[in-house]
Formats: sequence, C-alpha cells, structure tokens
Amino acid sequence: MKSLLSVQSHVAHGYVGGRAATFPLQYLGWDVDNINTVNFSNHTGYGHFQGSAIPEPELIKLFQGLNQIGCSYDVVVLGYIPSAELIDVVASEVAALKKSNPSTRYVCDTVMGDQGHLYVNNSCVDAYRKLLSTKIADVITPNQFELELLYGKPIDSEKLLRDAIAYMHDTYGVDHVVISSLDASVLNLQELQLICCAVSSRFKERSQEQSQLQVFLVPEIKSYFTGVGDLFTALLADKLFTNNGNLVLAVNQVLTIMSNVLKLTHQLGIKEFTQHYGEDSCERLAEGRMNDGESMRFFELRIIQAREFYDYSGAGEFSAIEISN
Amino acid sequence: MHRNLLSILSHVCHGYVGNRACVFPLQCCGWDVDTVHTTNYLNHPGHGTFQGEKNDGRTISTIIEGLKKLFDLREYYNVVLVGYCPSAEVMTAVYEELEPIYKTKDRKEGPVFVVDPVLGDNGRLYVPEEVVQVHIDFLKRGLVDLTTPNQFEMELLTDTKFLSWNDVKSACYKFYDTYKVPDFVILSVLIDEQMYSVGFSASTETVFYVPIQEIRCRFSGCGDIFTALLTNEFYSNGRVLSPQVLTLVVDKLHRILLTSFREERARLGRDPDVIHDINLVRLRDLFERSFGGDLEVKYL
Repeated sequence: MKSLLSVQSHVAHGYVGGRAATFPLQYLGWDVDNINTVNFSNHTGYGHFQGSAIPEPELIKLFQGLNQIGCSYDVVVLGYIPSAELIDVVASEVAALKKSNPSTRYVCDTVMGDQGHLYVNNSCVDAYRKLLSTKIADVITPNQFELELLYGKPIDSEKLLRDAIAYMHDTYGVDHVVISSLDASVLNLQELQLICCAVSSRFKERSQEQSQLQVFLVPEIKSYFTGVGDLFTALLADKLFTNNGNLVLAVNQVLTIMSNVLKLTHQLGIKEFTQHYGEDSCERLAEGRMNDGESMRFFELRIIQAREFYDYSGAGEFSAIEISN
Repeated sequence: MHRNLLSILSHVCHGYVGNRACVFPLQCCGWDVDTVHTTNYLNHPGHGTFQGEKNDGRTISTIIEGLKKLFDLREYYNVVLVGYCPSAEVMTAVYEELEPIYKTKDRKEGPVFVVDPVLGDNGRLYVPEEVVQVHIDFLKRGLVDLTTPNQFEMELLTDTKFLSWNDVKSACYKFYDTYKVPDFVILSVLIDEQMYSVGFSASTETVFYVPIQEIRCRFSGCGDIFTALLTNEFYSNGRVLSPQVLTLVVDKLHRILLTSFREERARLGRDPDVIHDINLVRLRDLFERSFGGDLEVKYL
C-alpha cells in the first residue's frame, strides 16, 4: 500500500491545496493522511474568504502524534503553509520524521507567489530557505518567481536559470528540480502562447555528475485557474514514484494529464457560466473579467469529473528539449 | 449534471471515519463534496490514543458564513449532510447556520437534508449529554429528509428498547410521529441473534427490513460509509427511501466490509476481531460499480 502525508491548506469549497491533491492521489491508490495548515471557507481567488490557520502547538501535536501512532509514509508532500512560524514548525517536525524513516521521499512545493506577486508574508521566503537548507527535500516544484525568491536573484537568461537550478541541487540537496512554469523568453524562445516547464535531476549520491536541463513547451495555462500547481505537484509525486524516479517521463505524464484536466475545466466552465448568465455573457469572459467572485466558481478545477485522466501511464504528449551547455 | 454536496462531519488526519470515510465514496460516485470539519483530530478513538482538537462553534459558523458569501446554499447544494458534532455548541452552530436555508422549505426544493445523529453505540453515549437534546429539538422542526440512527440512537430518541419486531415497529412509528422525518434507516438491528437493516418511508408508511450477513468483526467508520452510500442512492431515487434503495446499499456495504475483512485476514493470518480503518482507497472499484442488491425484503 502506498502511503502519503499531505501537509497543505484546506478549503470547504473549491479545489486548491489538499482539496486539489487528495482525491486524485486517493483515486490513484494512495492512502493519504492530511494535515490541514489552514481551514478556510474558500480560496483567495474569490476576493474574500473566512477561516484561520492552524495554531503552532496544534501543528506540532499532529506531527508528533502521527509518529507516536506509528504512521510512516512513502512520500510526504508539503504545500501551502501560511506563515514563517508554521514553516519553521514543519521544518523541524519533518526533520524528526525523516530521522525515523530515512526512506521517505519529500516533495516540497514552496508556495509563495506567482508572476512577481508574493501571496505570503515576506518572512516566509527565509523560512523556506532555512527549511530547504536542512536538505530535507528530494523534489521541489517552484514556479519561476519562487525559484527567483529561493535563489535570491531575478532569472532572465539561460545562464542564470542554470545557475539557479545548480544552486538548488548543491545548496538544498534536491534530487529533482521542476520549474513548473517559466517564461519562454528566459530561454530566448519566442514562441507565443507557450510556457516552459524546466526539469533537472541530479542525485545526491552521484553529485559530481552534471545535471541535464530539459525543457517542455506547453500551451499556456490560463491564469484564472486556481490550484493548478497543487494538482501538478500531487500528480508529480505519484508519477515519480510509479516511474522509479524517471523525472522526464513523470513530468511528461503530469503535463499530459494537466492539459486534459484544464481543457475539461475550461469547457465545462464556459458551458455552465453561459447557462447561468445567458449566451451573450461570453463576452464578459472574453473581456478577461475572470477571477471575480461571480465567475470563479464556474472555473474551479474539475477534480472529480476529470478522474479518468489521472491514471495515464503513457509516454506523454509533449517532448522534452535538451538545453545543452 | 453536476451534483454538489455539503458535508459537515469530523476530520481526522489519519484513518477513515467522519468526513474521511464519507467524502471519498461520494467523490467516486461523481459528487463534488464541500467539507466543513467539526473536529481536527489526529485519529479516531479506535486507535487507543487519541489527540487533536475539536473545532468550536464560532469556527464552524465562520466557515459556513464564508460559503454563504460565495453562493446561495439553497440553490447550490443538492444535499447537505450533517454527522458527528463534538459538542452541543457546535451542533447548535451548525443548525443555526442551516436552518435559514430550510425555513421556507417546500419539500421538493432546496437541498436534501440528511442527518446522521451520531450520539453513541452499544449502550454508550460518545457525545456530551446535551448534544442529545439539541438533536431532539432540531429533528422536531420537520426540516430533515433522511436520518440514519443506529439501534442505540433510535432507542434513545424514542425511549424504547428493541426486544422484538413489535418494539422496532412501534419505535419507527413513534419516531415518525415525534420527529416527522419522512425517511430513515436503522443500519443494524439485532433481533433473535440475527442482524437486519430497517427502513421506514412516509411515502408508503411502511417499515421494511433486509437481513445483514454478519461478519464477526467490528469496523470503525462503517456507519459513515453507510450514510454516504445511502445518501447517494436516496438522492438518485428522487429523494425517496424504497426497499430497493436499502437493499442496494446494504449489499454494497457488505461487499466493502467483506473485502476489507478478507484483506485483513490475509495480512494477519487469522480472523480480525476489529478493523480500525476500512481501506477505502483500495475499494474504489466497489464504490464505482453497481450491484444487483438481491436481498429478501420483508415488511412489518
């Protein structure tokens, strides 16, 4: 039985954080335990939300309790953690977990922001750097902005991208670095409407080997979907595990699934939105009035309806381009 | 077509009870399930040690109020499901938040309201005494469509003791007279050493029952899975409890428990006497499939 601990946000409505990750993983046969870092009514995409973060002592107790009752995991996925204090707690508790179970793999999604916009407190950046410098994470999945925060510099060239990834491997001891979304201009790729997903593996036990940077070009994912990164990381945890650490294949499968999930989400969203607001309401969507409370609920990821896509195990619909030195 | 359900039950980090037992089966049946957690426990008491926190009434109200700002709950949800609440305060908060949705209720409109009055089992209360009264008061308001007390809860709510079929029958009619809940199921009733699942529907004013093939083992979370499966079939049947609905659910639950029992036996090399966590994830296939439900139905 494959077991996984998911440490992420909980929302009553909508599919982000643990709610985007848990069902697909369960559907793929994972026994998923959940620690909820926050308990919110909904995600921030609606413009308003209610609820609270878990108090630190409670978070400590849950981690220690899981250890006491003898839970051990094949994989731990760390997602949204709302404050530096809580990231610190997770760092020390996870270190203790790893000590008692060295074989557990840690997938860390350093959720901090996107496209130049930070959606956690500034102090979280240092807290994540501190967490990663304990070399706990085997896999990280930052987007370009998060990579820049972790590296400490803006990345606008292939050279800087390479340096930043090498830094993740060296300083943070990460085996697999996946930059879930990267501006194509960084690699001087002028393709419109395409976004890059860059991947690099270098195993701790073979650290003298050069890592290879490979890039997937995927049609741009419309930004009004929320929870995309959380689903991406969850599926990656599964596919890396089932493909014995073959990162390129795993990412290709994940991107293929994501593309199907997003297509379905888009189709059903448009259909239900126009059913609700009338045929001519499409113009509103075209005007880009997304991400308001009214339209948001029609464009929640279709986590349930997309369930048949999750166990895709083919070669992947995309091709990786090797970026040579 | 989209089916939306709001599930207000306990949460545990590890194990399958409360929301963790209900949500996955419902999701496998295609439901989009929104979840409000009444607890944030580490695990369930079946594990011996037991840690974590109850959520308080304010936390629950805050979350439900947050949902109300997103959409009209009455329009959005097809079903609202309420289960374990750790205190009278939480129970009251839940009911106060939900009551306005139902106040103007025309029975065929608005979300189906399912309540699992989790109070205790096997002669023992596992909620504070005051929770019983909150349930009694709320059930009497005539807003609930379907409820799933176990034998202990049914006896408690009707102040009877099941010794014969006569007692069961009069308890069912008394329950209906007192609480006006049109459909209800007692998951298991023990009469003459045999277990039965008993249903009542006001649509036909009949009490009916089907035999349960007994598995000599205790299963944690079994009642929660039952409520989830029943809710799904009840809704699909146009919000009416029929003997057919009951047999489908009892049959499916039996398959789930039996598979779980056999897997545990294979693991242990002997018959287990208790299964703390039915391994739901491994039973996905059973949740997704339909079975005939060929069980003999009898009427009282």
